[in-house]
Amino acid sequence: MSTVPITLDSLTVNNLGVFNKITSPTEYPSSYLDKCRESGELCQYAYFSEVPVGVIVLDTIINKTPIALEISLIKVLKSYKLEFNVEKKLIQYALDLAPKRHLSSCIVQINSKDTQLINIFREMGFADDDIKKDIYCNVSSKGEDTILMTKSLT
Amino acid sequence: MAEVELQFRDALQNYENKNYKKSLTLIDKILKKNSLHSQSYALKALIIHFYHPQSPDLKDPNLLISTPPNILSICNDLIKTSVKYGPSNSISAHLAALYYRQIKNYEMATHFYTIAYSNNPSNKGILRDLSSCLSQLRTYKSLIKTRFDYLQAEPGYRANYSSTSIAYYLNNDFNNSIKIENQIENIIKDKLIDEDLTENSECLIYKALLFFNLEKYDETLDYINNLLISNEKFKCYDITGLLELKFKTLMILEKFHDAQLTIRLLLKRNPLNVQYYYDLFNSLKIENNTSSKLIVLNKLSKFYPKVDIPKFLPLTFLNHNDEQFKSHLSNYLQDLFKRGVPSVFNNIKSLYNDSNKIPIILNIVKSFEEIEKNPLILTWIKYFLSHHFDKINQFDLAIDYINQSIEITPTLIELYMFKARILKHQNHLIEASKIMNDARLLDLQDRFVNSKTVKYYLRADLINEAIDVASLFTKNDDEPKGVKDLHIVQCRWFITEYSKSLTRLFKKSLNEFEVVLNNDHDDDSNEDSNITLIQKKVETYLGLALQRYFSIFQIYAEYYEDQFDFHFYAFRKGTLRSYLQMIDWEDNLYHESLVGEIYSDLMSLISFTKENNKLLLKALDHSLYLNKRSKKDKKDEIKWKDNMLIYNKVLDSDPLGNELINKLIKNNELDKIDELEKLINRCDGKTIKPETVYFINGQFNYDFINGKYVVALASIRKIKEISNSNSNSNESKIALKLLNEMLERINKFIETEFDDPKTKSLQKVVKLGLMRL
Repeated sequence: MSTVPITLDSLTVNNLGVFNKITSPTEYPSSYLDKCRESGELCQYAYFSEVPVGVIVLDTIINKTPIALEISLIKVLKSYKLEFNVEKKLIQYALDLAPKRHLSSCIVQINSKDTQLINIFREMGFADDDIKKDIYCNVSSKGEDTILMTKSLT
Repeated sequence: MAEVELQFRDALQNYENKNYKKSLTLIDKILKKNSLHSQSYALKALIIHFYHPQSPDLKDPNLLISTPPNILSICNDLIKTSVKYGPSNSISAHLAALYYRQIKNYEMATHFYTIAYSNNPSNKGILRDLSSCLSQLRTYKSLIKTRFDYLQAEPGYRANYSSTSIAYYLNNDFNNSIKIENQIENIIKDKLIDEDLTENSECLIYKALLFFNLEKYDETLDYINNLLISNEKFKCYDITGLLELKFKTLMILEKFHDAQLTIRLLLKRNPLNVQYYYDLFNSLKIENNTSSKLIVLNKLSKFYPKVDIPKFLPLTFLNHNDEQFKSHLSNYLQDLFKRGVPSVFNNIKSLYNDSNKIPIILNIVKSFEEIEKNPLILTWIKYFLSHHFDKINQFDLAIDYINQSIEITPTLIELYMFKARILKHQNHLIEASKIMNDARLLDLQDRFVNSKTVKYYLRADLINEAIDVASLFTKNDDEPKGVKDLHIVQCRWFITEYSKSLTRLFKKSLNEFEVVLNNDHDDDSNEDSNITLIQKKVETYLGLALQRYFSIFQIYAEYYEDQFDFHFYAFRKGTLRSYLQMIDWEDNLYHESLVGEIYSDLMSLISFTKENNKLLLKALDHSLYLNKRSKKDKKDEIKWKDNMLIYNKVLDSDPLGNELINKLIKNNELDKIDELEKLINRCDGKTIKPETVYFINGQFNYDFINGKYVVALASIRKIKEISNSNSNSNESKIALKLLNEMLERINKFIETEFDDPKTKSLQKVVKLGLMRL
């Protein structure tokens, strides 16, 4: 089953409608979608043999200088979760992109109850990191129950 | 006189060089001196037709003639004067012919070309144009002579032999066709050059067709075989065409073994042509032998592993009781699902004609559904099941399955499109259009789903939404919206749906008007409803609907017109068979099913307006309530009309169809529909009007409009036959509906009280005729 090829591609003006279908029930306003599209390689759809099933949105964290790449959104359709390595492919994409942008680490804030996703991040080399929270001072905290995970790429 | 002739020659030269203004001055000078100079009148008509700065050309799309009507009438008068002063003058007749050709009046052009030629036989160029006009008019008998005469005048071109040969062909005189072909072949035998390669190839295979049509089958066969083995440079290159003709010939000659070998060659060239498989069965004489067919197809499927047909065909002839059917179907479907083919259902839809096969299909697919793990394949399986239940009219289950598949993969456009389709079948048109729009939003660059959305909006009578969506893909240079562009690009489906929607809106508004009118009598408190706006709606929707229906016929007129140049050009290119195909296509043009549908709709609409004439005329009379409307009403009305213009304007000459209403409805001038009736009822006997429900309904309504109630009974009989024939088919369902409508209307006529004794006796005759049905 894992043989199904997962490919990634950028958003275009014509397929923005897919975004909210993937993130449903959360709906994002069109201004957010436009920003994602304009960010180019920072936002990607994941395709399960040509059908879009996942999305990742990345952000550069800046503290005077750019310091890290944040995975600000990662979402895969329920039926396609976990089993087909869609998440891994998306995370790997972020890990590959960071050095190209001269960023030394990749971070993510995850809902602490989402153990499955946390496990995947652990598998991919991310670690819980409570201490650094202050360093990323402009990481807008995504609520009380999120945990911060980081992976250093140096 | 000599001076006049010199001046005229000068004027002619100026005309040819497009110095219209100068030419016109010269002509006026001549006419001042010699008011009987017939050539000058004819030339003046021709010049004015091209040059009339005071009244600019009409720019409306799909117009065959852009010259304004006032100019045309001036020109016609000039021609008449010219004929009066020089009835047999070759030059003026030639000029007149050129003028009529410009305004596409080929009968008159033929008439004048004939006069011009008979008074000046040395001008052979006339024959060429005359031949084109004769071909356009399908006057084949005279065509032979003109083509032959031109050939004798210009024997140096193969095109002229070809055109003469075709002239004989069109008169079913194949012997003479072959003679002409032989002549030219002998002449050019050793003189062919590289440029002649394709023309020669086409002529060679055309000759094979001639032998075939002459029923000289042995000769055909020898001829084709020689062409097939030819090593020469100038041979026939259309091997497929040759082989197909060879197969046909062999089948007639009952040489089945050779036929079988030929069809296998064709299969090798194109294994995707399903007809070849049937032909193969026929040549093997195994049409009714299931097991042999299975063996053959089994072998073929191994031979052409990527082709679907040999795998699918067994399902069509295997019996549902046969265990083989089940296993074959299961393998076939499994393969398709595994490959993730979205259109599995369409592949096997034809099997649903056999009701015994339906439960077997369902069971197999359900068994797949239970064990499938891959979410995408599961989505397609549920999508299939949804199609299944939709097909057998269990719409709730269909919706249930499509919702399940959307739940699994909410990002697939096809799923939403099909959901919309089920809703449409349930007659939830507005909801369907909304879902279709959801599908569209998932991929804005997909024109197919864009068009579907437009269609669904039109079905739901949401015209503005439809036009907004359609305009995303059109060129909107002259107008803010794309309706005009869709007319220019001859988008028939859009205009069809659009006019149907306008018709529904018209009827709805007229209904509304009637309600308000009746309330008006009861009490005088009618402040809520803006009656003048409703009147405006009745008028505009009707005008636009009529205009759109005629636009579609206008497009067909363009299709018919388009062939004109090919009566000359096809022979220069040597594409004889394509030319014959084109002639055939044009002959059947007005019998296409879409024409039938539009014909039926248009005639029904007009006959509806005649039956509700009293009410409609009241609705169209604006003076009735003009004083009653408030300032706000007036404002609303203007706003509504402006909006209508933005969205719907196509013709500058009659933006909202008011002129059409004046002509057809108020003044009862029906020449426009008489013309249509003539086009559809081609009287040359070559093609017969198809007897489908729509053509019959159109005919019925046309007769009804003209008060020919007894003739209309014939249509009722025909439609009754169709409705009785096969109760399950879609056509018989429509027939039944139409039959009831027809009967209701004819009864209404019988029951109406008339004072006129003529009509009374007509009523009796119709009543009697109806009883005999």
